[in-house]
Amino acid sequence: MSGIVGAAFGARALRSTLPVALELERAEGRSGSFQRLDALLNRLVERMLAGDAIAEFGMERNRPHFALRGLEPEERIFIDEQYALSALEERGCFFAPEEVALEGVIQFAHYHRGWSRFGARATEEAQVKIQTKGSPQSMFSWAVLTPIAELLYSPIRVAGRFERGRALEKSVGGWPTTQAVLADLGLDVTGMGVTERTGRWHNQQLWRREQILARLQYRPKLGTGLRAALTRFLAERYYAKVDKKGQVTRRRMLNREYEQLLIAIFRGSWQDFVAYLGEQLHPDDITDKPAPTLLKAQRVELPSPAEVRLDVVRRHWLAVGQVERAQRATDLLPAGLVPEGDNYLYADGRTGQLVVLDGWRLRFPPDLNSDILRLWGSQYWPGQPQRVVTNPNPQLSLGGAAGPALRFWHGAFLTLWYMCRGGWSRTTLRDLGRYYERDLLELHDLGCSVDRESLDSIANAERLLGMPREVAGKRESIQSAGIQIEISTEITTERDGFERARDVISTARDGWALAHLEAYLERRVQQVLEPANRFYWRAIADRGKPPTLKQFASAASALTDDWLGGDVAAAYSAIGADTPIASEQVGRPALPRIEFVQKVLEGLSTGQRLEFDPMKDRYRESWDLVSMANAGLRYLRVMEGIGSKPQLKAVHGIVERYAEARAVEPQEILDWYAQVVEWALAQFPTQDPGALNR
Amino acid sequence: MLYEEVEKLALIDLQIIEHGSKDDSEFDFRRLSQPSFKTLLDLYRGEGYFENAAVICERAADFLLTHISGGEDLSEPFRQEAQELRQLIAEFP
Repeated sequence: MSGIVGAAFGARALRSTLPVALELERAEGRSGSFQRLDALLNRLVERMLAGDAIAEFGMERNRPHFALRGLEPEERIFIDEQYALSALEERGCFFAPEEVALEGVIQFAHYHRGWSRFGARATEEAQVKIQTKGSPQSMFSWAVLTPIAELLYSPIRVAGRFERGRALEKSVGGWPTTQAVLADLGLDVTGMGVTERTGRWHNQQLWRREQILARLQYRPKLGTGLRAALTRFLAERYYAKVDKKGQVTRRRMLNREYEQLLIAIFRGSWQDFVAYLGEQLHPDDITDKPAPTLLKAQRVELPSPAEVRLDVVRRHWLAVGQVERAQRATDLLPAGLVPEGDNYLYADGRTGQLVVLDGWRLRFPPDLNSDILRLWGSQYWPGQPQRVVTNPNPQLSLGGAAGPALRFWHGAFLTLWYMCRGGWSRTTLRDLGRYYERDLLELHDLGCSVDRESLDSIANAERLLGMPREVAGKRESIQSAGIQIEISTEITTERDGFERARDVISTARDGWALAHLEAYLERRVQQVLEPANRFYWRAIADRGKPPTLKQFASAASALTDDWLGGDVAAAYSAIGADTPIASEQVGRPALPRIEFVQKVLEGLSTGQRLEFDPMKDRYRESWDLVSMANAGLRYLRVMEGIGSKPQLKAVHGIVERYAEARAVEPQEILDWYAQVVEWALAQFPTQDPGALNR
Repeated sequence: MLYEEVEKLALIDLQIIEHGSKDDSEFDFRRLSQPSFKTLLDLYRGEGYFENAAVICERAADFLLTHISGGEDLSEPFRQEAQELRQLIAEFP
């Protein structure tokens, strides 16, 4: 950048080549703070170019996993100290991401050597998203290793042209700059022949790649050089953005790309960067106040609406336990005790019956159900977060709030039930731990593990069951060309011993609840309260102003819908922030959902007999009508959210299948559907929505 | 090594279906979707092996040429992609 003027170190360094800038940096005592970073980079880049697998990517026990391989203890400590999210925030860096996407490019040479013919594919496909809190290595790899690897991988990308669209344009468009940087670092870019014509057969392209890889050899202090190259990108941006006084504010200079580099080289400290350049901080960046802290973003008290709901979740937990404990093998178990989806009607092809998923209504105390309806009957509308609309399935939302404990323990009970009573069991008691691994891990993270002993006792309860005996399902005889064919559509197995094993599960469940339930429930709220709290106060600390309403509502969506009845204003209050809105109830929280959906089905079927036996002609159409009836509450929610009749694009999925199967225009079906939903709604007296249920 | 194995299996699959369609077999493989063409095309294109990818497109187009499904010529998209690839080969260094 020859146009840069000024006597500050940064300006002089930019007027020099990279090696000279490094000399200047050393001579003027500005390299000291980079010593440990440079040493680490020199070693990692050497290993990267040698084709080592420097990182582990992928899933481990159902979770994203990432770790750097082969770090020395002091390197690990350096990364932990410097790139931990908390350490960055202590330096005033509130823009450090809480989640990063890591990609295979950081070990491209490994993929290109190991999978030589399909190295680009292997490089592209290795990726994982990781929470940076608790993983400084992810932050380091994203901030430092990724931009360095992108530089080094560039020649292979540009020569291969295997990317498409903007990615290709970016690689090719940035090549002149990249080429100059790599040459400055002493790499033989000319010999790579990146832009020389190379045939497009695989062997010709592989030969070209080999030429490039052979010239991407480590040379002493290449890591230091690459660090200096990233520093230079930052400095170039700084001088491109300065005002007439030669200053620029942090917010004006940094976009996402440069924030990443500031984290990489200066561990997120704007002051350190400006001091390194030898420039003066812009007056707007100078503050007499102490360094920003996240005091408010630490632990916050549970808001009272959440306390009220916690009490209902406790009662629900007890009610589910009572139903499970009292269940006998000879009794029917009503479907939908703890809903797993938001549908209320289900066409059971095995029995040919329409099933209402209302086990909760039949088995739970009425006052519990009315409290659930009252407290989870509403949700916020993302398009206009101040609008509070009808929640299609309050029981489902309560189940979501109750989380992994309810899923696991009720799942154990259902597994036993279906093992003993036929049907399709999703797993076995023996494999329960594996099937529910994700939920068990979440419980572990919340400090409320299901202990080994309980899992073993449940697995061993399988021994209490009798031998499986086959039970024939529905049989049909067909006479064809004088031959009688018997078709059995279903064969299931049943086992004795349900009650004995049920007691084992109930005892383990009670033991877990005694030890953990109280702490678990409180942590469930904290689990969604804390991220919302951090999101808001980090934005204030970083930008000096709160996030927009939609941004905050999105970050606080689980808090708002699970624990605050869809009231975004209450979410602001919960984190001690001023609310910019007053939430407005526009929904029908007390609407009797099941009756409404049944009414929609009645309107859609217009008195025709519905058939739920798959062998019958009208089965497919009947099934489609049930799906549309179930969707009635989702349609209503959209209508309330936008405040008018939804257009086709907003609810296309609801009518699409029905329209397609009958070769009718979707708009025609939507018009009919809207009339039916409005007719069904009119059958229920309009309620005064009244105040929000806090 | 995984991708090499995928490539090998997809190439064998192509040999089988191409051979099958030339036989007087009662079953016409063209009635089924043929993911191996797409698999190979993605593999080669994603590596910048445009000649290999173009050949696969042309094989797919030839294979599907005489098969019309619901009034749609299924060979056409492959024919077009082959042309695009040939154009890229001519333009790229």
